[in-house]
Amino acid sequence: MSALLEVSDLSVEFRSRAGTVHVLDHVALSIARGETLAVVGESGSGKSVAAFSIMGILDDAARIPNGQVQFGGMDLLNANRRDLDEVRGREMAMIFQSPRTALNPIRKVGHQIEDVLRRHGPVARGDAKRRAIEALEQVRIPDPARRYDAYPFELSGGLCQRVMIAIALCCKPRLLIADEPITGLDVTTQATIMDLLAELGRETGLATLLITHDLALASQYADRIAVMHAGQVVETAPTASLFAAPRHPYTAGLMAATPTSTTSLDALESVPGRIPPLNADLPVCRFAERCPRRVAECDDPGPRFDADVQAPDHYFACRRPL
Amino acid sequence: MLDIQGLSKLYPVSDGESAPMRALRGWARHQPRPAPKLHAVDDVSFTIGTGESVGLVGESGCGKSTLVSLITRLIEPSAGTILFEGKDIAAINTRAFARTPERGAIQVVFQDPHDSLNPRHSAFDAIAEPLRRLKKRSTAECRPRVAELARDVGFPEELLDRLPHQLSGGQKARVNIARALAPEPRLLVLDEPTSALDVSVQAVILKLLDDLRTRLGISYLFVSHDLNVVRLLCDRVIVMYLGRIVETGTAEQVFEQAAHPYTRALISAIPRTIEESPVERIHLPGDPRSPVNPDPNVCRFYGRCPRGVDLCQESEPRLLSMAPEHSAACHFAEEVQESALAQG
Repeated sequence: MSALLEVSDLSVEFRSRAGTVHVLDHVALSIARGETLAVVGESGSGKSVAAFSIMGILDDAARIPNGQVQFGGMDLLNANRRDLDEVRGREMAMIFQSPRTALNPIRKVGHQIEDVLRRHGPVARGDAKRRAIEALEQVRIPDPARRYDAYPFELSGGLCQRVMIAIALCCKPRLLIADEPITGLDVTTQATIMDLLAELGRETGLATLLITHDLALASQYADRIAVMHAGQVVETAPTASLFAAPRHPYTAGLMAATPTSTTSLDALESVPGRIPPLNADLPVCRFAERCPRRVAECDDPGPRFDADVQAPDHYFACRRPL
Repeated sequence: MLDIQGLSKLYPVSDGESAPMRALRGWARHQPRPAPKLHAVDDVSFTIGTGESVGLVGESGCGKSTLVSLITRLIEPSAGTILFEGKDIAAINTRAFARTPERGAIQVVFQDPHDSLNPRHSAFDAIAEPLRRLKKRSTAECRPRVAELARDVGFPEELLDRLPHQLSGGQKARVNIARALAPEPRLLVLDEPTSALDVSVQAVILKLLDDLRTRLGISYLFVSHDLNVVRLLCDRVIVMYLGRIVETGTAEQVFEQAAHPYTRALISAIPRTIEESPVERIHLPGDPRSPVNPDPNVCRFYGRCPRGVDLCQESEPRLLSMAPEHSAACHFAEEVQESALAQG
């Protein structure tokens, strides 16, 4: 299967008053057509920065010393602004957390969808309205014709997120980047939004990059999971294979720390330590300081990614895997 | 220890009519027309025993936070009594309450450990503040107690001089807990204490809270939307919907034998890892009913309930006992429970 999106060897650093912050370190990710890849990590793991670099919306203080982002045969990091603008919004789209702040508060939601349609091709006025209502209908908003005239403040959080998904999907993109799409929503609404995304993915053959801190959520909706820690991808594997046998100590630690419907309080374990400051000199393995399995060879430079012989497509960056 | 009976908080809201128009209409009818009321907390009764941990769950807008503000006496209730250790604290007005001994006996750990610390106060100041204010102790007198509290919550004593921005999320959470414990409360209200923390830190804080409860023998009211966390920490669970309690029972009863359709929908919405047995998702269509002047004869959940029949819009179900400690407010509670049990 050829990859739709291929991120390889991507490093990102930010200039700051406290020196250069090495936010991403040789990150590799790939998504096939129609596939859902979840990027899981705690705050500060660099998962949002990875998404922002794919979309090309990084802050001015960011620098990309090395790496490639290939999308459908196009080199996104070296593309010019005009080509990029054609791809973004049409071929790949992004939804953000806190939908209410991401929408324009003083524009009707229907018009916000039309803005995207107009930006990506000539559409007649009546046609735009019809397609905007269709887009609202696609995300199962009840009474779409009436909601077309609503302002974001008149809609609930769940409906706002649906509107944002409608905006993202109205040009029928091939890739959707969802950055913590359900944070801040109610539990029941969260489930509805995630089910909607999964359904739309199946209907339209859409590939999804799901960014989340919730391992359980990732396992429920993703085909493959990439676990990030302090700017490094430490393990990537098909969901079933990852849960059956996590190889990286950090992945195993995250699993032991996540409360499920069956764990007891005694069985719950935390991951000791915290993410190292990313503006200092960093070891080869950024998890080494927190790792219970650390040995001397962990500090050797050299290639870090190993494939798992037992399971196909299972990679981990550890010298002493579980 | 805490006994709440018929507690309500109603807020008058505007119905779009201007004040002179309202006065005119009132005059024409020979009686003032009351403004519509938003029923934030509506006739809520429950108890918390000594050393007991009670979980409070429900979606945003269901009245959880209003209930917390009422119990901690930050706002005035519209009706009802709050008996705290036999004394009705609902009768004391909020200003006077700040000077009663109960202020120290009921303490809150707030949601965001960062935002709830004064950025210019060191960890020591944050923990000593309630001692200075409520116990009238001088800074020197506070010192041994603050050190003891820091040890209790596992906060390194050498970091007591640091400011919040120099502390990690987990450390800030510990400072917040120590601050709440400072005046030796007997009821601790925990408002989403771990929702802002990373999972790797969350586990330690949950264990700390559980350990503190057994060690100090205080009661917890644990407000959270993370049902997996509530299950770990609470003996009993209260489920609220639109200002009312719709189900209450022991953690096991609520999670294993849920008898209200809303509780079942909540449980079915928890993300599950592939290692857990899958549960059929119950979708709730639409939005909650309006909390403004709700029809007293219609079930609050009607319209979103997958069951909803004519009976549900003719009479509002009351909390009915299902088993000792377990009650649910649904006309079809037994059927719902049976189908829950059938699904395992």
